[in-house]
Order: sequence, then structure tokens, then C-alpha cells
Amino acid sequence: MKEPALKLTQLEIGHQQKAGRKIVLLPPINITLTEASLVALAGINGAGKTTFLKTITGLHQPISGDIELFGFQPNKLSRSELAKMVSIVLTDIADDFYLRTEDVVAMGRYPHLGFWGKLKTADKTIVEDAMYKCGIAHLIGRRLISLSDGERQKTFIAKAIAQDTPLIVLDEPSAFLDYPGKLELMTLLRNLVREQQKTILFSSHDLDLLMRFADQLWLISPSKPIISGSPELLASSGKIGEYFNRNKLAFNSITGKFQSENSSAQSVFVDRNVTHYYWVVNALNRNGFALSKHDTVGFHVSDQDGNYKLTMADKQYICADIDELIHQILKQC
Amino acid sequence: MSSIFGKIPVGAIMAASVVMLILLGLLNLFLGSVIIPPEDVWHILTGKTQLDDQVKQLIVLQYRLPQAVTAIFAGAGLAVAGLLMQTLFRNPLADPSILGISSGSSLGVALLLLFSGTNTGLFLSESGWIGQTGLIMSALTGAFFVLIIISWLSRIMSDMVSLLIAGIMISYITGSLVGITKYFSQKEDLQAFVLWGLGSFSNVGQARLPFFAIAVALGLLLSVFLVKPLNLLLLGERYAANLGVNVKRTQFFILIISGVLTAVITAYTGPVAFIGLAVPHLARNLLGESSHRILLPAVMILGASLALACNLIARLPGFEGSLPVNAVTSLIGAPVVVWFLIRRKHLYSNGK
Repeated sequence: MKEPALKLTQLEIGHQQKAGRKIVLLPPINITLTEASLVALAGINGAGKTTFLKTITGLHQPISGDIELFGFQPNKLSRSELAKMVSIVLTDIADDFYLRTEDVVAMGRYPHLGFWGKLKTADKTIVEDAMYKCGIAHLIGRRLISLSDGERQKTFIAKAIAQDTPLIVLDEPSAFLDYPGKLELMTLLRNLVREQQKTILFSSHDLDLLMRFADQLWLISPSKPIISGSPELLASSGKIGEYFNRNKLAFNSITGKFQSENSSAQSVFVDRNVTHYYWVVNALNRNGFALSKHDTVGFHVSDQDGNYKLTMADKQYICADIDELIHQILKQC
Repeated sequence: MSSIFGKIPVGAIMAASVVMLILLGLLNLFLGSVIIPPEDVWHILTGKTQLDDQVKQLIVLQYRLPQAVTAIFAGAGLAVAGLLMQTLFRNPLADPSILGISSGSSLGVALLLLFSGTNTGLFLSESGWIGQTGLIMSALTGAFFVLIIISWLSRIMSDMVSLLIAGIMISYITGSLVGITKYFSQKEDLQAFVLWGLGSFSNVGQARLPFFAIAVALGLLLSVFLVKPLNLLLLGERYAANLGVNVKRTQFFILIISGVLTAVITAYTGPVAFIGLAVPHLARNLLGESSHRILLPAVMILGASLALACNLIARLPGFEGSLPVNAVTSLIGAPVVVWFLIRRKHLYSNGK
């Protein structure tokens, strides 16, 4: 049985204003974070993800409720004790001209160092090791400002590893990365969980990425209590839709994608056996068709010796590729 | 660790800077608008003087020596204050005067000149030592008045950008108050004000030197305690807080230390521009470093050296009396800084 890294009880987050007024962002939060897992905090923009993360890392005061970090209350720990328990990775950009990658990673050691912040041999080894683990050993000597967004993100993750905390919290780590960069980042985080037994909590609204990598999702919404579960369970039970849907846009629990909700759209049934099923669905969605669960609708696509067979009413067409299929469907509308 | 010069280690550059500082210090004692043979200067400094050397002795011991010591402390102090401001506001344009502290001292001086001139009929410009002390006291009062407002604002303002803008606004307010005061001042006192505003390392004098030196040295010493949090603030407030820094308290200390340094130095030397803005840039460029463990001593040495060099140029033989320090610091220093900034574009490309 794994221990909880973080336990939140009746936690209210938000902003305390003058004269006792307070703005509470989310319903009271009751949740536990299991050790050695990769957990994604997901919610629409403005739901309060950043305030949530700032609150649990001690950078922001909770309005009420309890936070337990490995059994300790953050506001009863000294700053340096807290710095050895949880590290953060943000999208803030340090714009100093002369900071080198290894300087940034070395700053992760500061809570462990003396007055001058001078690294001992053991600390240098830890810094190099952290850079190696994040695949940025070749960036030693490079200035931070000369790095790409992805390299910079990895530099700050290396900083968090050098900080040597059991819990790492990342705010929107995939925000500025290109797609391969996002995958590389998530793979790195997953490896840190599997190989180093780190507990990692990150916020994101990049659902596609979360579905592929997170062990658990925490869904938040201003109007609903926080829920957690595996990506698959939350997707198939329609919970992701509940927490993310907005006007004219809905989460499709079959495809795991968001689609424009257009009631007048034509429905198409696609047989699972067709070649490149995924891309057929993609092409149909892109052209404004809805996907049907039942084969009783107007358009029916099935497999015919590797070709696509389009059936409607009593007519049949054989199409060699996806483009031809879409062209034929559009013509019939 | 290597510098902008490639393979030259940081330690070697620091050692060279110290040698340069000592050399400039000696030159300040040996050279001046009055020509004194080097061997005489040496005799005066080592205490082997004859009676007929009294004038020379006066020039070296009462004039050149205190001026050099003033330049060293003022240069080092302003450079450290500038570095602290730039790190605090994460803004390369920040300098010691940005929060209006030096314009606070200008206001103090301007008010003193106005009231002494119009109310008592006493022109400070003509009253010698007492006049100088009066100037310094009123400049200190003005600077500390602004510093108190700034530190109060820092407690009630949520972020550093707001504080920076508030500081610049205070500069404007004090600036216009200075303007109004000048409008009502006597002509003789106006000239005294202009002279004070051009800056000089010769106002401190032997008698006032100990207090000045101790106050600045204390500020420099205290800044050393901020090395670790200053480095972490380079990453931004949130990272610094996560790495164990009490951000609010550190920002307050930075503000007070650089504020006191600026207030004391401006009061004694007039508002010496440029050193506080430029020396941190020169140090970072020269050493290729961002760590305050290296930058703090480096800006102290370079700031002192630059002040000594400017002081030397300001009273080169041939100039009647001496040039205003402010004119020299900017005239010599500004092109150097621009040249260094042009050189640093390579940091973007190969990042080394």
C-alpha cells in the first residue's frame, strides 16, 4: 500500500481580500495524492489550477482546510524544510543574460547548501546527474537565454531533481512546447515516476496528452467537486465531458476527442474493421459529420477488401482512399 | 568558469582588477592639478616630511587622500546599490536613483538653500565648512525621507513592478518640488545647488570621512549576507520562494541596504550618475557570470576603480580646479558600456 504524498481535507483555495471578503475558486477539496505516481490536474482555463498548485506548495495561503505534505503541515515547516519536500517547475522565464543551464540546476541545491551557496563535490555530482537524467548534459556551459523552450523546460525539471524532493509540482509544463516536445517531456516525467519513485503532480489543459500519460487525472471545475480517476475511467464514464464541455463543444467518449456539437450534423456509422479507422473518423469529424454508435443511420462505411464501402439507402460506392470516401459522402448530402 | 575573454579564469580577472584598483588609488595620490614630484608624495605618505613641504603635505593628506578614499567607497557603494536594484527589479535599467532616493537628497539640499538664503540672509555657498555640513545633513534628511516612503510602499504594494513605478513617480514629484524651490532661490545659492548636483568626491573631507566610510562599509558588508537569495531571485519570486527564500523580507532588506548606500553617498558626493547603472553591466560582461558570490566583490572593485579613474581625469593637470565628476563618469563610461553590450550578442547564438 502506497503512502499518500499529499492529503487535502476540506481545503478551500482562493483569494483573501480586505475586510474579510474572500473569493473561493473551487468547492472544498478532499483528495489524496499517492506516492510514486504521475497525476495531472486538469480543468478549463481559469478554473484555478495555478492557485491550486501555489496553495499546496506553500506559495499561497489557503482560505481554510488542511494540507498534509508527507504528514506535515506546510505552514508549520520552515522554508528550507519545505524546500526539501516539494519542488516546482513553472513557465516563468528567467531573463538574466548570464545564467548558465548548470547555474539554474545548481540552484536546486541551494536549500541544502551553506551561507555562500558554494557547491561541494557531492552537490556537483548531483547536479550533473540531474542534467544527465533529463537529457541535457550536452547543454552544460550554455546560457539559459540561448535554449529552446523545450530545453529550458528540461533545465528546470533538472533543477527540481537536483532539489531532491519527493514531490515535484509542475504548472503547465507542456504549454510552450511543440508536439514532439510535449511527448518527450511526458516521457521524462513518467520515467522519473517509474525509476526514481518521484511523485509528480502537473497541471495541464492538454487533454490529449493527459489521456496518454497520466496515471490519474484530477478534474476540477468551479461548480463541481474535484474528482480523480484513471484517464480511461473518467473518459468512458463521460466525466471529462462534464468537467470540460462548453457551448457547442462536447467530449466524445468513443473517440476521446472534443467535437463541435452540431445537432443538424449528418451522422455516419463507421465499421471498426475499416482500414485506418482512426483517420477515417478524423476526416469525418473535420468535415462536420457526427459519429454514430448505431448502424441504422443514413451513411454506413465498411470494409471491402481494403477499400471503403459506402452504403446509403440502396446505393453503394467503393472508394479507394479516405479522400475519395469523404468526397463521395459530401456529394450525396 | 571562464569569462567573455574565453579561457581567462574568473579568478585571474578579479586579481587583475584588484591590481588596477591599487594602481588607480596610488595615481590619485601622485597626480593632480598641482604638480608634486613623486618622491615628495612618497615622503609625505611615509611620514618623512620637512617643514617647507607643508603646502604639499596639505594637498596630499588633506585633499588627495580623502578624495581617493571617498571615491573608493562611493564607487563601490553605488555599484553595489545598482546591482541590488537590478536584481530586485529584474530590470537592467534599474539604478540607485530609480526609486527617487537621490532626488530626495536634491530636494533636501534645494530646500536648505532656499530657507537659508531667503529667511536668514545667510548664503551657504559662502559659509564654508558649516555650509558643507548643512548641505550633507539636509541631503541625508531628504534621501531618508524618500527611503521611508518607499519602504512603507513596499509593505503595502503587492509586486515589485508597482513599486518601481511608484519610485519613478516619487522622482517626478521631488523633481518638480526641486524646480519650484529653485525658482524662489537666490542666484548665489542656485549656483551652489548646481555645483552640488554635478557631484564631487572632494566634499567629504578628512573630518567627515570616518562616518562616511563606516556607513558605506556597513552597507557593503550587509549586502554580502544577501548572496544566496539574490541569486535565487534571478529565477523569479516564485522559484526563490520554493527554494527557501523569504521573498518579502529579502526584498525589504535589499531595498533598505541599497537605499541607505544611495542616501549616504548622494548626500556626501552629490548625485553621481552612471556608476550604479553601468558597473553591474561591466562586471557581468567582463566575467560572464550571474552569481552574486562573484558579482558583489567584482562590482565593488570595479565601481571603486571607475570612480578613482573618473576622479583622476576630472582633475588632470591643466584643468583649472577640477571637472565635475558626473560629466566625466558618463562621458567616459557610457561608450564603454555600449561596446560591451554589443559584444554580448554572442550569448544568444552559441550561448557560451
